[in-house]
Amino acid sequence: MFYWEIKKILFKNKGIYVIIAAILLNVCVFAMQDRSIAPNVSTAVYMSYIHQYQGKLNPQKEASIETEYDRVSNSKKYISQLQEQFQEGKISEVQLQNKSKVYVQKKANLSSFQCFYNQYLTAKKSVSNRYLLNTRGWDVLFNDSITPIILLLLAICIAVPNFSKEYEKDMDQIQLCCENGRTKLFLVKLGAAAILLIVTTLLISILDFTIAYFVFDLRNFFYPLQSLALYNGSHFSLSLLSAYILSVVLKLLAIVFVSVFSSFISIAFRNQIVASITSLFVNIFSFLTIWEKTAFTSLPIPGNLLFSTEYIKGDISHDVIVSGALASKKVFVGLSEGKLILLLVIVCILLVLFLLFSQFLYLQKKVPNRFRKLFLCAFIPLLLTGCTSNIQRDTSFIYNGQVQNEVPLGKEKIKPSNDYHQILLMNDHTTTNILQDPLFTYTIECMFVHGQYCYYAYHVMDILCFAKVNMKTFENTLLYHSGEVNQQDYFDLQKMPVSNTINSKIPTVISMFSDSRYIYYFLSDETLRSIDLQTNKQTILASDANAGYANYYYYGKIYYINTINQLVYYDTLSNKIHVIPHVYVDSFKISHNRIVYTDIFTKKKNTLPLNASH
Amino acid sequence: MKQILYELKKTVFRKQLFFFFVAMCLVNIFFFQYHLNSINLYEIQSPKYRETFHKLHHEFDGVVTTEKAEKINSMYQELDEQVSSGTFNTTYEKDSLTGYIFQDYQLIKLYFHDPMMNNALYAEKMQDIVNEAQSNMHASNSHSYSHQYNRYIATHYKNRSVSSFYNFIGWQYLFDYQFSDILIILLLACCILPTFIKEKKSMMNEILDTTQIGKKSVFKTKILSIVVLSFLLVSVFAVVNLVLAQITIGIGGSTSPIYSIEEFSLTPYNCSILAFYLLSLLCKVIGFSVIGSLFLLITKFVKEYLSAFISAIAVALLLLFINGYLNTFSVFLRSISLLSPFHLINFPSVAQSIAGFHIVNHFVDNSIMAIIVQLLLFIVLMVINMLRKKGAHHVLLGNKKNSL
Repeated sequence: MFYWEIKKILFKNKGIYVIIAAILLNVCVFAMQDRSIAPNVSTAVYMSYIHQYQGKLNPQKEASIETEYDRVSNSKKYISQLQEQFQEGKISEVQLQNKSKVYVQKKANLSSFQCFYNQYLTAKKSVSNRYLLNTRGWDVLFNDSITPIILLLLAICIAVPNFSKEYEKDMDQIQLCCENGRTKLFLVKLGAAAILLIVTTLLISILDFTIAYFVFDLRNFFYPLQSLALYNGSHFSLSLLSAYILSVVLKLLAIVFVSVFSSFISIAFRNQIVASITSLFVNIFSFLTIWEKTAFTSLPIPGNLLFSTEYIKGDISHDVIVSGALASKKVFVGLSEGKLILLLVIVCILLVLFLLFSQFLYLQKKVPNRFRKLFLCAFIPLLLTGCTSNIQRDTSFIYNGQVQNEVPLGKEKIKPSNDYHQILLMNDHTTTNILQDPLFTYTIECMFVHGQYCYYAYHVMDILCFAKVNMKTFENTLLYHSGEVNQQDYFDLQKMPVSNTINSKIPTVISMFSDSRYIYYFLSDETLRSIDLQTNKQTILASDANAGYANYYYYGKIYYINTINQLVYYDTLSNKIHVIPHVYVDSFKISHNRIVYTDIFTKKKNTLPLNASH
Repeated sequence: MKQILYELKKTVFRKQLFFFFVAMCLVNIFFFQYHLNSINLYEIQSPKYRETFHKLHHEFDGVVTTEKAEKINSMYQELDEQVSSGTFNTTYEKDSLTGYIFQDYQLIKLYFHDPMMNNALYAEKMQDIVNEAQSNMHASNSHSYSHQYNRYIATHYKNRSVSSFYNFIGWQYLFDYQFSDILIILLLACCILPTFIKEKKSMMNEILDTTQIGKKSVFKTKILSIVVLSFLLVSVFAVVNLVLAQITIGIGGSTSPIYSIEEFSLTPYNCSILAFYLLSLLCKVIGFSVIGSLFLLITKFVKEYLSAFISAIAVALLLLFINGYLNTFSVFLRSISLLSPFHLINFPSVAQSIAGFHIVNHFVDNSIMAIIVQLLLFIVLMVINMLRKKGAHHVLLGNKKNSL
């Protein structure tokens, strides 16, 4: 009987296709996640720090990390000191270059080190149970929100047709007439669906673990759970591996619960579509209501339990913007061990009750009153398992950047208007607004004229935008913005990422150049970057560009002064940076095929021919 | 008419669906209340604060007179002095409006002084934009896109002023609240999919094809019943939402121009708030009719209930996804985005400001483009459905001939 039911689910109801599709979809989505540690963080640099310091913190490690912090964060200062020593003749040019190279490298690795250092600061607060490790693999495994959704849909697709398809064909009339149909069949049907789902869940969990191991470098199985950023306030004293096993066990319980619940709904409604919608709706109910997960774990909704790792999370706080300049901090208070056990007990009681209710409905009998009362009583202890939230208020500010001045254009010149909201084309007699958009209210940071186009850069909040305007037809075209290309929020289900730069100064565009394919620009954070207009990919080309100094685009080469005052150029064709040897400059300009620069030591003007070598 | 009523009876007036519909209405009421927390006034502030807010609105709502403006200004100046000097009492104060001086200051500043000030400056701000647009028009060729764009701005923004002051939070909330739309889509799926699939399963569609009326008008009736169903669902939820908004937040100033609401200060529409709300409901009906027609098309290809339902949800999600490309920099993606009926379902967000397409040196606003494209899409879907129907009829006749 059991064998036939499993065969029916797999082949007659086409469950095998759904299971295979679910496994393949899960593998694809899971494996295709971003492998980088964080934006602008070099994995190699981050891993070198991790390999050096991983494990439990001790005084030696702490001292070493603090020394490294000093060298990285003050690299600019040390470079200036070296320059001074060089100018005073205390060190030679070779020494300057060798020593400063180390600090330039450190400075380039600032964001990677910062990522590691933040992890260190968290670990330092509780040395005994927060270890340093590469968290990428574990983060992928523990913060996976795709697998639970796939499992939820799979459970509904398997469990709902199991009963309602037969009701739609009036098969129940026959089944209830025979002995096995009234007794065994109900449990066999439920058992078959549950076993298939348990096996699939186990398979998916093992696959996830294997992918995380091989693709995301999953290591350090026995480090404490609190080592992970989102779990550092967890109330559970578990190793990472045992926490994952616990989460899988919870998932198995959840999948059985979802299966029983969906079967109950399908028996009650006797219609596949209504049962599917109701089941889906009830299971995702908490997502629709509790976006911030403030009380996520307080309801024993079957679908919630599939997000098993949420139950072992600790207290979490993060910033959100409420309105205008107000920033609120919402705190998620995690479950304690006792509360989790209480919740699981309630889940088990509800599971049994749903099983009984289903059987009564299946046999077309009335549910006894004592079971109904027990069902209601099961919800009361939930108040004890609830989570809380509170709101703190803070004030924050947003800064504006500076604007590049006018661009000469033969007899005419182009400059921003006084409020930097428009671009004006000026000659001796007339002034024309070439932007021609009275609704444009953003601050223009920088302009660049090439052919008949004027390119300009501006920020909308923390989103960097590049646009061009045709100076003859005044046609305006947005070329790039760093925000999400698709701004769909799915009825607020997907929160648009909130800017986390509100408390820090947003780097502004100092100068920009553009050829037909790329936009090259210098930011005030001392980086030279490029954007490929075909793929919209942003790349950091150099991290040592001295902001505020002159830069030139000259026949495919971008000339600039680096942080140790060397004259450097980036070749856009070979994608390489070249340092012009023995030239230390204060300022420079390019005219008549020559670089005219002021030497930093002699303060005299020199010239350098622009030949094939540079 | 009788046929439409019969189709509706078949699709909507069923016992199971009735309970489902009631459940959805209850869920909508719950969400409406729950989402009130997204308003700062309801999320953070105390009941006394809200009570004072409503009381003051009762006093100051209506046409802004010099008397009212002076009174608000003097209240604000007095509180501003106290707060700026830092000498105000931070503990509970019985004589204050909300119980605390700083909260009084915040209430008057945020909800009365600043909005009144904005209203007073609005006409000047819009005139500046119109002047700038007109000067741009003079600088550009009269057949150029830039000229047309600036002319559109100048025409739509001219002679604008806000002379009245009301509590517009209720209206703003109504325009922002979108949860009812999810419920309407689910209800549409539950009404349309089972009925038409049942017809197909029981071979009723083939019998209908061979009858005199079935051949000619049943299909049109089906499409019309989808439009009527969309209209009914949108109307019911709109009434529920309006009543809830009136009870919980209060909706006033419905005859004020739509640009009186801060969020819509740059909208190209110059009608009253109520007219704009009705327009947005009409757009919703068009949007849901397009979605309903797509669901009808799905029933032509799919035999099983569950597969039809999954396909319908997948199509709805796909349309929702492409809806997000309207403000991107790629013209291609923006054009594709127009195929999504969700622009009409969430019409207020599309009509909030002037932005649009460059079509042969002409400027066409996004909201107008969305309406045109969706109406065309609706007609195209009708034709596709009809073509398939005719095809099926011929196949059926062909089979009969063969069997004969």
